[in-house]
Amino acid sequence: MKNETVNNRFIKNKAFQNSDVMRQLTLVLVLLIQIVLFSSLSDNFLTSSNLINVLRQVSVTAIAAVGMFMIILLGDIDLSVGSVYAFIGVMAAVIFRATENAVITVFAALALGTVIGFSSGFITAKGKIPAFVTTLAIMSVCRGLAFIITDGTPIGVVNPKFTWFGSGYIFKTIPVPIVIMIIVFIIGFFLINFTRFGRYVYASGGNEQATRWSGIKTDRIKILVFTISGFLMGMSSLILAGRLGGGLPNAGNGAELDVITTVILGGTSLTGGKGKLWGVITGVVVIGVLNNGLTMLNVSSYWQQLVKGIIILIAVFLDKKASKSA
Amino acid sequence: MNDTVLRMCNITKRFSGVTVLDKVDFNLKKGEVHVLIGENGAGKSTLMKILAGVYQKSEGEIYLQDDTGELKPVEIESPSAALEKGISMVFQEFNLMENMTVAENICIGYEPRKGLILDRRAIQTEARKQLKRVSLENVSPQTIVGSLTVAQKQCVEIAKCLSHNAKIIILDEPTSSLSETEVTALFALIRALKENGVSIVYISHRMEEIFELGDRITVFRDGQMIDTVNVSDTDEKKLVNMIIGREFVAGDLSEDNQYKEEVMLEGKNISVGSFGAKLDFKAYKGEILGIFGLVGAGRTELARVIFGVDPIGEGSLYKNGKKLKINSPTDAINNNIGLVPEDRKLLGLITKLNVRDNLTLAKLRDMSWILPSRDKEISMTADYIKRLSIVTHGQTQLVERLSGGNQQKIVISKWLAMNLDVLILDEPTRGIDVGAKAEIYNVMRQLAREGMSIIMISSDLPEILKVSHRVLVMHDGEIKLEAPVKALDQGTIMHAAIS
Repeated sequence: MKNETVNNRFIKNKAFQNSDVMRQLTLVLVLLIQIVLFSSLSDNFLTSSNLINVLRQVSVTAIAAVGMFMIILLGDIDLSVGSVYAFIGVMAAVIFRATENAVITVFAALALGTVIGFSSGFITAKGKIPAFVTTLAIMSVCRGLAFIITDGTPIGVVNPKFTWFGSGYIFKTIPVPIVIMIIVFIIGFFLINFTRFGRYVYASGGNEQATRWSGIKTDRIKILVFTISGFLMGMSSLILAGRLGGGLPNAGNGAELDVITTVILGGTSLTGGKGKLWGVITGVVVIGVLNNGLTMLNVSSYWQQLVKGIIILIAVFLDKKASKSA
Repeated sequence: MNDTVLRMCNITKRFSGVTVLDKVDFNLKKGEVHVLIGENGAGKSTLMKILAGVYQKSEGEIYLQDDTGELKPVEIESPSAALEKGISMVFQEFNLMENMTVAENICIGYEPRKGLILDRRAIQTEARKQLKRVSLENVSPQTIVGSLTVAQKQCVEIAKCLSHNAKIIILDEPTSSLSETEVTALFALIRALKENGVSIVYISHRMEEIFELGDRITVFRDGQMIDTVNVSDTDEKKLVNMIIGREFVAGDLSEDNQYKEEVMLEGKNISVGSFGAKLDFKAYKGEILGIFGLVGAGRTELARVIFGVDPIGEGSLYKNGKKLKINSPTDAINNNIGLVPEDRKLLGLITKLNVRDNLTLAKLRDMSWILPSRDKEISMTADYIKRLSIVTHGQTQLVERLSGGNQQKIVISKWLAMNLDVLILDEPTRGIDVGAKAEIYNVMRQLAREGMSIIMISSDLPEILKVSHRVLVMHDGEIKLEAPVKALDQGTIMHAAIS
């Protein structure tokens, strides 16, 4: 008899899991509304070239968002994203000008990102300093370095080998940033959902102490997450520098907020331990479509900021409602 | 004579479609102490939270006595609505702002004002008046709440209720962290309140208290109200049977005293916490070693040292005669030593994750870096759910929604998967109902029989006597007594723990 009631409850419990689905459905609904609205107001919106354009525009943010997603899952945050773009972009431009070698440039940029990420993680984990503070400092250091190296003037690089990352094509049809973005999401999805490491990230973000008391070296997990995120920031920096055609010391100003926005919009809890990479993908697309659609409608960027803020509030509010009623 | 102040009829509560209260009736008389009892998760706290406005009922009616003495239907939409109607609840974890003063806490939410400005003097006067009613005159209203003892905080909570003119006060396991003298003081206070016509709802697990304090008892099981009886008409055995719904067999674990004279874990020269003394101890293969002591005796600190959370200092640990190097919980687990911590929510569980993820978390380290197939995890989890009869709505149920007893079983199961040699359990049955307790004892006994060393830290003397093979008594960071349980009685142990 007891078994019966347990079974019965198990079936009813499906409602619990649905709250996750509800989150995603809300976002998808927002996305659909956007698409209907924009395509009825602008003829050019629903063309394949424009949709590819949307994806290309979001790629820089999307790639960094995979790293940020893991950091926020841990209950931490990284404020250094935009400055890291600028610093690595500038360094990549300098190195490329000196060597004229794309391979060396790419390796250097990725290595630099990895080292920056490792430093943030190491200082945060071993020094028991809030990531907010560590990355605030890193942010300032990187922005400063970008200006010191360039003396405040952009370093232009027109060589297509350099700009390939930002504006090149694979098979002459698919933009490189989109390919990279898709690969990053696939690897990220595997890492987060199918490896021990991914499980430990969730556990650590849910309760770091209890995770450590289960025999898991949580410091290592944290350092690894920041390192991976740094590597991904290196990747984004290359794409951005390629698109901008060189290293700009003021590039990526406020980019961290875009990245954090997409992650939160995707339903990741800022307190850690809760969230799905699927949500991040939806978040990325919602923001991308919004930016693109408003631009197509000739809405000024000032108004775009305002609309973005309101959309975030509405989405988060609907999301709260949905998870409550489920 | 109509002395019923509250009647709750057909109360049903569902969380996301799961029924946790099923058509429950409850009535409360003026000036009585009404005890609610039942296993964890039986629904008693949920019912009281509905009464206090924390939860909203899904179905049913609530009637409350109004000024004319008539029972009138009411809706309690929020905690503040409950307070207005004279219903106050003192939660187990309290609801005090630790950084504010006693007076500010007592008057919170309806501070006396002069115009827009707080009337500080009136706040002080009110606080002093209420503190006096709870016999806390010696505490200044200006004291910061964070500096009070647990018992004092509780009195401040009750003072807060009185200040709201509470006619009904709900106390949720008020004695779980109080010393014996503090309990006596609390009981005196409750009796005084009763004299003044305040009705008390008292949620408790402790039998002695129920018979000492209660007028009537309502028993809950599996979300249903089983019965309401007068304390004078029942006895402990009848009650226990009502609670668990089956004949309870008290197993005396000390009977199978078959541990081998073979040392599993040995500690030499260990100093714990900030205590100066050096400890030596031995844990044998296949025994349950009970460590008794009062709160602050250094027992948890000893467990932390063994588990690698705190540094061992000059001391050393040996397992099977081999010296161990333990600097972290990871090292301890590598040496097959596990710990079920005292604070399971903070240290034992990841409450945001589901049952399955929690159960397999520690075990993953023995597997490859790619997660095992879901089927494998599911069957492993199913095994442990069955072995410890964990009541859950499924493997993907979030742990935070389980009752305390079931949460504790999950922490224990996590270690069962690990093939340990030594398992330390720190207050394994605190706040856990009778049925789950018995199951946890059985698991401990079985593990010991299989040759594991079980170290059980407990402040519950009957539990120590019932479960342990050998007993070790600590006081002020020292081991005061070490003996087989058969050679001991309550008096000897208590004496060693105090002096």
